[in-house]
Formats: sequence, C-alpha cells, structure tokens
Amino acid sequence: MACERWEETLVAALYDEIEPDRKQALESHLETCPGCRESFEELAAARTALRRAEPRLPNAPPVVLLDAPRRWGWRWTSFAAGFACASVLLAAGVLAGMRLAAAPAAGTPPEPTTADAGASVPAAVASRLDALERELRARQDSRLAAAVEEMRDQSVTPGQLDTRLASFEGSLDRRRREDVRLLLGEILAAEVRSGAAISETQKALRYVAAANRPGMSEW
Amino acid sequence: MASTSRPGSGPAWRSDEDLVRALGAGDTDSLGVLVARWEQPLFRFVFRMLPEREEARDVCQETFLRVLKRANRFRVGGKFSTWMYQIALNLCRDHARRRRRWGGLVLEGALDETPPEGSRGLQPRADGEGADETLARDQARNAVSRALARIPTEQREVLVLKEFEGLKFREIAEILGCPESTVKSRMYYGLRGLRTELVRDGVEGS
Repeated sequence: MACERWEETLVAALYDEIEPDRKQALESHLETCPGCRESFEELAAARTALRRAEPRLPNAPPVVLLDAPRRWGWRWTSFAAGFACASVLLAAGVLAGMRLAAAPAAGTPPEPTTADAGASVPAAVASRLDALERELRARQDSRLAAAVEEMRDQSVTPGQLDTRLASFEGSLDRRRREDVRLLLGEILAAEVRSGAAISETQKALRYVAAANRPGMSEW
Repeated sequence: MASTSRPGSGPAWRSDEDLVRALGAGDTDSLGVLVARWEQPLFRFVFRMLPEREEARDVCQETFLRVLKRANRFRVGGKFSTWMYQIALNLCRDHARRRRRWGGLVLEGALDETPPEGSRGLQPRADGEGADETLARDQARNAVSRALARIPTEQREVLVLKEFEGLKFREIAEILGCPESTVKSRMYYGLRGLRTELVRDGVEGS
C-alpha cells in the first residue's frame, strides 16, 4: 500500500504528467519505500491490462440532426416547397391558357401558315411567347424561361407552337414527377439514417433539407 | 463543403473553437465540420459509457444538438472538446440514471462485429495471431470489462477519459468540474480497484 500523500504523485508519474522536481522527489522516495514501489508496479500492471483490453468498437452510426434549427431549415424548405408549387401551378395555368387561346374555334378553318414563316417568328406567336416569358421571369424560374427562349429561337407557326407547348407541358410533368420521386427518395434515405418514421410528419421536409445541406449528406 | 475555399480560410481549416463561435453566430455549416471531426471520437467515448450501441448513438446526436443550440453560450477561451465531453458525460449520466443501466460498460465491441460463423478461432488471423491468442485476448477483454463494471462510476469515468480518450488530468478535471487532485485520486483508486478485480478473476497474478 502506498503512502497516502504519494498516491496522486504516483498516478502523475505513471502518465508522465509530473513536474521534474516532483519526479526527482518521488524517485528518492521510491528508493526507500517498498510499499510505494509495489503500489506503483500494481498501477502499471492495471494500466497494461486495460490497454491490452482495448475494445473493438463498431463504427459510429451516422449523425442526423433530428431537430434542425428552425431559423434556416424551415425557412429554406418553406421557400423551396412554396417556390416549386408556385412554379408548377403557374406553368400549368399559363400553358392551359395558351392552349385555349391557340385552339381554333369550331368550324373555323385552320390558321394559315404565314408565307414568311421560315424567316421570322409570327407576331401573334411572338407576343404569346413574350407574355409567357415575362410571367416566368417574374417568378424567377430560369429553367422554364430558358425553355421558352429556346422556342423563340426557332421559327414556329401557331400550330407548331401548340404541339411544342403540349410537349413542353409533358416534359414539365415528367420533371415534376422526377422531383417528387427524388424528394421521396431523400425522405426514405433520411428515415434509414435517422431510424425514425418521418415521412408522414410535418417535419419531413426539414429532415430532407438538413440531410441535403452541404457537408451533411454523410451524417 | 469548403471545396472552393483556399487553404487556410475554409471551415475545414479552422479551429474547433472558431467553428463553434461561428456556429453561435448563425453559420450552421460549421456544425458539419465539427461533426465530421468529432463524431468518431465522441462515439467511442459514449459507447464505453453506455451499454447499448443505439443508446450511444442517441447520446451522440443529442450532444451535437446541444452543441448547436448552445453554441452562442460557448465560453471565450474554452476548449471545444472539453465542452463537448462535458455535455456528453452529463447526457450519459442522465441516460444511465433514467434507465438504471450504468453498470454495464461495454468493452467487448458490438454484436455486429462478431466474425462470420465458422471463422471465429479456427483460422489464424492475417496478423499471425492464432486461435489461442485470439481466445486469450477475448477473455482478457471480458475480464477487464467485468472489472471496470464493478468499480465506482466516478472512477470509471476518469479511467475511460484518461486511458481511452487520452486526455490530460487537467482536461478531465475541467470536464468533471473537480480539482485535478481529485481526478488523480480517483485514477489511483480506480486502477487499484481494477487490479483487485482482475486478480480476483484470476486474470492477473497477485
């Protein structure tokens, strides 16, 4: 058994966290005290046993913040969700209106193709495209505006515009379906990572947003 | 995250303390860097304190969540890891108190590390360790695990923080909120208690 007043010094020496003068004093003491010498050896043996039994540890499970801060998470998701819905609804509304306006009245002969169709975009078509583009740009939807811009670069007749708008509408719908699919995939992945059933809660989008933050996808 | 930043300026190059201060000021990207740096060490620490892997995972997540929520209260001049360990240790104690499972320190590794059926102890390991050595090592791990579970909690905390986390006595004292001399005293009696238990188990010679 060690002398009580040397116990802490023995531990400090064992881990080499001891002042030089204190170490010298301990060494002098150990030369004359068999109890402290034995105690020091026992401490060292216990330490060796502990180190030999260094545990195998599993990999740390990924960390997912289950309660992301409202100040950025909720705002971001609200904005993204709102913007996505507004874009889709706006595009659908505008396209439906354009199609109705472009549809020939019953019994009316089809609108003749302009003679110089190959040279420039007809005025009627151009004005419709202008209106559509203004609407889209006002909503800052660059993806849709770019698609309109692309149509503008080519000479089209009103009939061709109908066809292209229908095709455009179809592609929009496909993109929307793809976006939803990706979103559901992210929710599922977040569920797997967090171990919580979140897809039916109001927090779902917050979880997805947290998981999608740069540097957070690996948590 | 900071892939476009030049070296020395992005979050990945900043100190823990800088990051937590930035986090407190609203830069939530800093948390990602702190998690990347500390999730493994923190999990190792918590896993040795709590017997269940899932429980340890919960504590780790809760720790980072508290770091996030309390970042603006991080003390100027403080060390992030000390603060984080303090939070984690308090959470471990809360969990243990609630579930009354403090006794089961885990040193065995997880169940999911169990080797495939038929491979355990039959084949020499790649590092040259044979079946006998593997068995002996497993027995030593079990014995140390049992011995650690039998010593008082406050001694066990110090042993884990010192021996497995490699912290200085000064840092442990700060985490535990007690004088350094108390930490050393707990370490002394913890090691002695461990030794006594191992001798009683016949693992160590008397």
